Amino acid sequence: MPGNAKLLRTGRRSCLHDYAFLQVLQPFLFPGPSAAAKTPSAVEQSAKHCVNIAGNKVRQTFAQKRPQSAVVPRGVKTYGLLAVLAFFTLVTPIAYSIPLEYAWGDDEAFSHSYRFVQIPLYGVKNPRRITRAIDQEYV
Amino acid sequence: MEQWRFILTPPMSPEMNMAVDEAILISHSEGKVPPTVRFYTWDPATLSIGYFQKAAKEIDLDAVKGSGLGFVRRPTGGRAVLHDKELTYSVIVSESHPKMPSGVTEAYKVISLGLLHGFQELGLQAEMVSLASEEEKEKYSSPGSSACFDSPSWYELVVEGKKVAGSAQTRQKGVILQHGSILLDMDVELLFSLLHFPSDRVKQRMMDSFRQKAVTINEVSPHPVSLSEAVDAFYRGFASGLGVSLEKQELTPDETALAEELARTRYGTDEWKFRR
Repeated sequence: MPGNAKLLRTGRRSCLHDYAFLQVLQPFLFPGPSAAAKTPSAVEQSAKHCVNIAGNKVRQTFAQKRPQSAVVPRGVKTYGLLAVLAFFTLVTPIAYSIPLEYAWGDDEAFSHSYRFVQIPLYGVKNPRRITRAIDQEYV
Repeated sequence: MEQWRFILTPPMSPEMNMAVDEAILISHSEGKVPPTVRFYTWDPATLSIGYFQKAAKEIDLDAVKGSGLGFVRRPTGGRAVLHDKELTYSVIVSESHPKMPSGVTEAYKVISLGLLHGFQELGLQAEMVSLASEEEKEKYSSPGSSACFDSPSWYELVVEGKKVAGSAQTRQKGVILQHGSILLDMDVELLFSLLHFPSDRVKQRMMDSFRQKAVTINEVSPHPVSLSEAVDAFYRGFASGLGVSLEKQELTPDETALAEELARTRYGTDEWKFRR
């Protein structure tokens, strides 16, 4: 079929799709028990060649993107996660056990200024939002 | 009836006044003294700023010095207050005291009952305004000046709809320290000459707004009220408002020594005054 042959020559990028398309359409393009006999062997060979090229390219790409050195061992992941959990589990009660000291003026009733905000909890320089919850407890 | 301590200290320097309040707080936290109501005045007249205020940005420090005023940073929040013709009060009581609710504004309301009764002792129609609605918050919200007294809080003491007392709190070592100013008279021009404004127009607008929202005892009282009259009235007012018996006492020697140390090492230092 000249049309199919032309489709396969459109480039490597579409080879896989074209081949799959050809496989799917084969019964329709070449109906009947003699379909296999009518399939142009040159087209099929060309399609297989394209698939091989595409497969190689995919393997090469994946190999480049995932070098062996970047693979994280399973133990490191587990211990890292546990360390992060332990940090927050330990630090949070300590942070919240700091006596709540605050300074407030009746002209600031709508914007409480707690001394607690001076503590850069978790490295947050302006942790007003963190203290909002504490604020609510008090007011 | 539960007995609390009442202390009337003589006029003191700004740093000593703040230091005495904190010394009482520390002594009370250590269980050495009972809950305390203290009245005091300032020598010289002083501009105090809130714990979180930025001194250089918000205050004209040259004007403060030029006016011969003292200057101190409070341990409590709020904005600038000119302590001149006023009676200053402080209440120091444990957070765990049965009369003290855990909420800031609720505790403020309980302590302010003493003020309310004091104003009523002077024959003024004072009332506690609850600013529960958004409209009320908007109505009384601060126009943004650095001066205290121009915006009532959720529960605000007002006479003729205007703010008559400004208060501030801190909680340290499980103890509440609330102190504030009961205005007998006020020099609004002087106060606003001590604050920075973006322009004279803004300053004028703030001043007009301030005059509409704040008032002094002698502006609303049918007869002039002296400092000693105010002391007597608020002494009775705090006793009845808090439902306690106030016993007149002096600072303990430990409190005096601690206050002197705090005045020297904290409140009198530039490090404290200009920490922001």
